[in-house]
Amino acid sequence: MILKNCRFIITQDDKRTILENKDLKINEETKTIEEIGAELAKEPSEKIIDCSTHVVMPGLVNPHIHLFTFQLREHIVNSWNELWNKARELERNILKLRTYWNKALSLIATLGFTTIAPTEICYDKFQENINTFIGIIGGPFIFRKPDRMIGKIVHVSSILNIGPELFKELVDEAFKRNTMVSIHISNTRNEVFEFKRKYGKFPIEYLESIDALRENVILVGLEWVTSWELKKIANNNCKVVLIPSCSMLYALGGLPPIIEFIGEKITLGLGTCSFTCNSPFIFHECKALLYYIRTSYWSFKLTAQQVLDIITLGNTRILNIKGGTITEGEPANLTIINLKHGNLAPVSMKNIVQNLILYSEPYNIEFTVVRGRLYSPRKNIFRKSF
Amino acid sequence: MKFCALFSGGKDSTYALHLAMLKGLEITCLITLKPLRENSWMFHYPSIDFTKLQAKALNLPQIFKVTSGVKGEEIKDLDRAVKEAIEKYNIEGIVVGALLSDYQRMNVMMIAEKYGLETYTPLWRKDQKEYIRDVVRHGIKFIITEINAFGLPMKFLGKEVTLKDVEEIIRYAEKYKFNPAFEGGEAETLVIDAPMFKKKLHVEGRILRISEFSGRYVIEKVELIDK
Repeated sequence: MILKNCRFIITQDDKRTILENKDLKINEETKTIEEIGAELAKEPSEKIIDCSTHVVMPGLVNPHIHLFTFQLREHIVNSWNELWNKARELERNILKLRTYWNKALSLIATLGFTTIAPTEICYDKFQENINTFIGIIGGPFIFRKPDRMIGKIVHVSSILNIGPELFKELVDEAFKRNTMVSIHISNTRNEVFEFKRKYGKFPIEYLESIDALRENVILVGLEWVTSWELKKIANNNCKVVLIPSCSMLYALGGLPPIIEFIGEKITLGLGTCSFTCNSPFIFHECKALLYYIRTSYWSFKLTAQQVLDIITLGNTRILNIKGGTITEGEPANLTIINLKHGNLAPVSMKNIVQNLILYSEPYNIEFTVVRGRLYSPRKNIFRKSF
Repeated sequence: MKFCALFSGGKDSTYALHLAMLKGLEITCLITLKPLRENSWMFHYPSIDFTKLQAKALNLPQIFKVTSGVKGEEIKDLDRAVKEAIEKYNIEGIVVGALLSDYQRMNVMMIAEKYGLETYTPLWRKDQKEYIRDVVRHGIKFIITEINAFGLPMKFLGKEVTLKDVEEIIRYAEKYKFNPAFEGGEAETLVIDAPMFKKKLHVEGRILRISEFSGRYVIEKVELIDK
C-alpha cells in the first residue's frame, strides 16, 4: 500500500524531519514502513491512497485511559474522591460496565489512536488486576474487543485505599512476572498529607522504601511531587504519565514540574485518564498541557514540538513498544489527518506541528493505519447508537 | 476570601503579597517568624525585625513569633502561628512566596491541609530571570542586605536595585552560575517601598565585608517616612 504524495510526513526521527509531498510505502505482510521517497508506485496493482491533503504522523498512543469511566458521564462528579467512589460502585454492574466499555472503545477509535492502554478498576482482586491490558486497536471490529493484546499492566488507583499489604503483594507479583505497574500517585494534597501522617514519608519516598520504584513502573499524575522525589524518579528510571485535563477538572492543585522532569530526562507521556475529563482526543490534552505550563511558569519553555515528542516518542516508551517515529523498518502504525478543514490553515513545514497541537479537532482524523492495515474509523464506526 | 501572608520583609514575600492583593484576595494579617539561628531551613533571617515597620507601612496586623530555627521545631512554631491567625482573623488561606524550595512549600501545604486552608503560591517555579525583572518592574523597591555568593559584587550591598542592576545581576548569575533571584541564599533583601505601602522605609547603614565572597549591609538607622 502506498500513501501517495503526502502533504507532510512528520517523521519524529532524531532530527525531527518533516517531509513534504513524499510517498510512504507500507509492507502489509511485515506490517512495517518499507520506504519513504518520491514516486514509489511502480506496480499498477498497488493500492494507492491519495494523501495530497493529509498529514501523516506516528500512530497516536494513549498510555493511560480508564474506559469504564465513560459510564461516569451519567453523573455529576465534584471531587477526585467522589470520582473514585462512584467508580467503585460501577464495578457491581458488570453488564452495564461492558456496554459502556464498548461504547467507549468505539468513540476513541474515531480519535486516531492506534494503541491504547486501558486500565480498569479491579484493585481488590489480583487476578482481575493482572488481566487489565494494553491492546492495539483500530477499525470497525473494535466494537467487540481490541484487535490484539500486546502486553499486560497492573494498575493501582490508590495505595491508601487498598492498603500497603495488598499493594506490596500486587507489585511484588507483577515484578516477578515482569509486568508493568501503573500507579496513580501524589495526586492530591490530602493524599500527600495522609502518606506523611500514616507512614512518615511523602508518596514517592514511600514507594522507594518498599522497593517499588523501578524501571517498569509508570507513575500517573504526580501533581504534588516534590523536587527531591523527582530526583528519585529519575534515578530509578521510572516513567511518568501526565493527565492535565484530569488534574485541572478535579482541582488537584496544578500539574507536576514538567520543565524540571524534562531537565532530568525522565520519560514523559500524556494520557487522557477519565472520560469525565475530556473528549478524550489527545490533541486536546496537548493543548491543555501547553496552556497550563505556560500559565503556570509564565514562560514559553515548553514548546509544541516538545509536546509532540511526549505523545509520540514518550507514549511509546512509556508502554515499552516500538513506534513513535516514521522511519523505514518501523511498525506501520500511523495517524492520518486531513487538512481540508479550515481549522488547521494556513499550514507550512514551519507551523504544522504547532497548528496540530493547538488547533486539531477529532474531525481532522481521517484514517489510521494499524499494523499495516488502513482504517477509516469515522466512516464505519457509528453503527452503535449512543 | 480572607488570607494571611507569610511575610519576611524580603522581595519574594512582598511580591507574593502584592500579587495576592492584585488578584483580589483579602489579606487580613501577616505572619512572621524570627529564627534564632542564621541557617533556618524555613525562614528568612536578616532584617526580620524590620517587618514590624513594614507591617505598619502596609497597615496590616502582624503575628510575630520567635522560633528556634531548628529543623522540625520551626514547623511546629509556624503551625501555632497559623492556628492563631485562624482564631484571631478567621483566615481561609495562606499566601506563600516560595520560589523553588519544596521544603518550604510542602511544609506550609501540610499545615494548610491540616486546617483545611487554601494556599496561594504565585511565584512557584516561575522563570527566575523574568521573575526578578518583574519584581522591579512592578514597583517593589528593595535593597540587598547580605551577599553570600561567588561572583556577586559587594557594590550591590545597601543599594536599591534598579532594572539596570537586575540585568547586571542576571549577567553575573549566568557567568558564575548562581540563581538570579537568590533562591539559593546568594543574597538577602529588604523591601523599602512597594505600591501597597502607605509609607516607605528610610534606611541608613554601612557595608561590612565578612570574606571575599560574603558581606552584610549593617542597618544602623531605619524609620518610616511619608511617600
